[in-house]
Amino acid sequence: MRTQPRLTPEAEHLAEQERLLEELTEQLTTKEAEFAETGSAFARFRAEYLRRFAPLYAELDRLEAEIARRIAQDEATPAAHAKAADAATRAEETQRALDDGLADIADADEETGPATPAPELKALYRHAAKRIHPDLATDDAEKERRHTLMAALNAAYAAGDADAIQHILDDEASRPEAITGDDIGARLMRAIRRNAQVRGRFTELVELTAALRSDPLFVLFEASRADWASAHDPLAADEASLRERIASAHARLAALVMAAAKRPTQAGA
Amino acid sequence: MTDNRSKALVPQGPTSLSPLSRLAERTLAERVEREERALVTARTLVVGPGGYTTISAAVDAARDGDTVLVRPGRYEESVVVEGKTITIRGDGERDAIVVGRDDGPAFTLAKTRSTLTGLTITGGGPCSESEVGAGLRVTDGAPQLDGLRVTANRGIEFKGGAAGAIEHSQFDGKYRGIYVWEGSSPRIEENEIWGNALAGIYIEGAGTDPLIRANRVHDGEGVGILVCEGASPRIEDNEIWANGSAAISIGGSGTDPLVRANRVRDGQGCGISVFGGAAPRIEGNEIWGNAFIGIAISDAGSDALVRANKVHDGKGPASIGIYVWEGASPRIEENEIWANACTGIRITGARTSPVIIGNIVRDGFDDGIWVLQGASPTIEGNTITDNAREAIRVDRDANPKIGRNVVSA
Repeated sequence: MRTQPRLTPEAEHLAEQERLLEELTEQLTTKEAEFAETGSAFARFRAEYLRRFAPLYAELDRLEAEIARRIAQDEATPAAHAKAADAATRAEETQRALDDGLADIADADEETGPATPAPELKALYRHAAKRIHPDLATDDAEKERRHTLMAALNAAYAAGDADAIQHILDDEASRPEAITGDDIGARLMRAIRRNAQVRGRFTELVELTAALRSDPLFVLFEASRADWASAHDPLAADEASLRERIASAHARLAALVMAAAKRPTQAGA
Repeated sequence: MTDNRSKALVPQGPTSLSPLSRLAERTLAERVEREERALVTARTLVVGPGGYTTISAAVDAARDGDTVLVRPGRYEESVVVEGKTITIRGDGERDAIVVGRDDGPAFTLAKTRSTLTGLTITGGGPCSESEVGAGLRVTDGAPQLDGLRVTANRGIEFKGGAAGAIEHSQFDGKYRGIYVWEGSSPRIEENEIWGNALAGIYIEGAGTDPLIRANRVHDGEGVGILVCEGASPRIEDNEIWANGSAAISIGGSGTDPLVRANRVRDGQGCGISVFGGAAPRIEGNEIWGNAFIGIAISDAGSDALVRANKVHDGKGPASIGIYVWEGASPRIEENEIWANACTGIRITGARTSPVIIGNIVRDGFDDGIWVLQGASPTIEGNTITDNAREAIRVDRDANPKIGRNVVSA
């Protein structure tokens, strides 16, 4: 048996750490792409939900508040007055949700790209994310610089702007700092530190996703996502049901108005 | 959130609910109420003696939440379920409840989340350039197909961005078993697919990313699972054996599936074949007893990662463990390759430059690794022992980079 010369333990450790880093970086960029896509899709869903549902809920709650007010006027009981006050508060909150939400999404409209990123765009994003990911930086200044670049990359990805991503890549490649060379000890320290940072970012992504899941709007988005992808309108049944309730509220209010018109006035009695 | 890159896209997880989130909370609660009401009012519509004479008539009369119960019989019809969400269930021995005709699909499921279970699906057609003539077509939506028998026809088809699932079903058709394309991504799980004339499972096109898990695909005349034209499914924990061609075939630029923990054996062709610039991740599979190459990777751009697989006991005269040629440059690492009838790892062709690292190649009946015809692989850190011929054989025109291997003849 012929045995090739073995590497020093330090060199073996370095090779192992660099291989691990390569693998973790690959996994992290996949996760980042998924996270960015989810964020972008959620922003679109939020805008869609707001445009379709907030006006309907605002109308429904306004009608319910008016119905409760008329009933309280007629019954003049503490319970009816309390119910009317609650209904009025709810109607105000819903109107505020509509107004605030519409203002929020006005800017976001300009940033949203195609619903499903093209495979080429996805590949370009992943390539760029590998090059500039902040958690692959080894000092704070470089990390901060990469944060800014990563935000620009995510915005370009969300907007479906391949040219902007390529521009980020070209700028990065032309930096003199892109060329590095160092002794084995420094490389090992760098690889270990980068590995720890990449693992940290994994944990952060998991926590961010968990935080999102505490939002009912995100829960509704996730429940609807498969349908959305298949071009089936996942909110159609919700919207139809809401419109039925609005129609019913209109009918009840009309009945109250009619009844009030028919009642003899105090003066007439 | 600790940095600004995520802020650009993802709203913060709420500490207290925003007004819009409170509206979403109402929508979710109203959904639950509607579903509960639907359950209370759901009806069962029977097809067969004493009930509806056709499945189509019952489906037309059904509302969301209803169940159509199909009694034994042969139903020569093309049923269309569109928009509504119902359950169609066979009530009796599945083989005695046969749906299908020869000039159209037994079922077309469009924009529906309906459930179909306990039926035998046959027939189909017509075929054209854009129509595969499947016995069951899912054109979009997300239906749940469970416990079906699909026989003597051109299988089932998911197209037009369909999702949903097909599971616990049997396929023994005359063409392909399951055909998924046009950005569809169903879950394909725990089915048995055998004796098909073409691929048991066929996946085509960018954005077509189904999960293919724990299926048994065997004794087909063609490929077991074929992935092409940019599709990227996840293929894991399947058992694939005794097919006439490759067990898993992956081709075309942008085609980068994950192929993991499958058991591939006793086929007449390759175990796993990668070509045309595909870049799958092939990991943790066991491949043995095939008549041809264990893992074959060819063509420029085919930059697969081939990691931690076991490739052994290839039994044909050309049973190479892993064969890389025609300019492919995969990374081949930490695989165990043993007792194959031909070379353990063979690399041929100019511009063929894989990285081969940390593998164990042992007890083969030929060379451990053979580099020829201008190939320039990197071969490092491998253990190559007890092969019948040379541990690493390098032809004069080849230009490998070799280092740190543990070798014996």
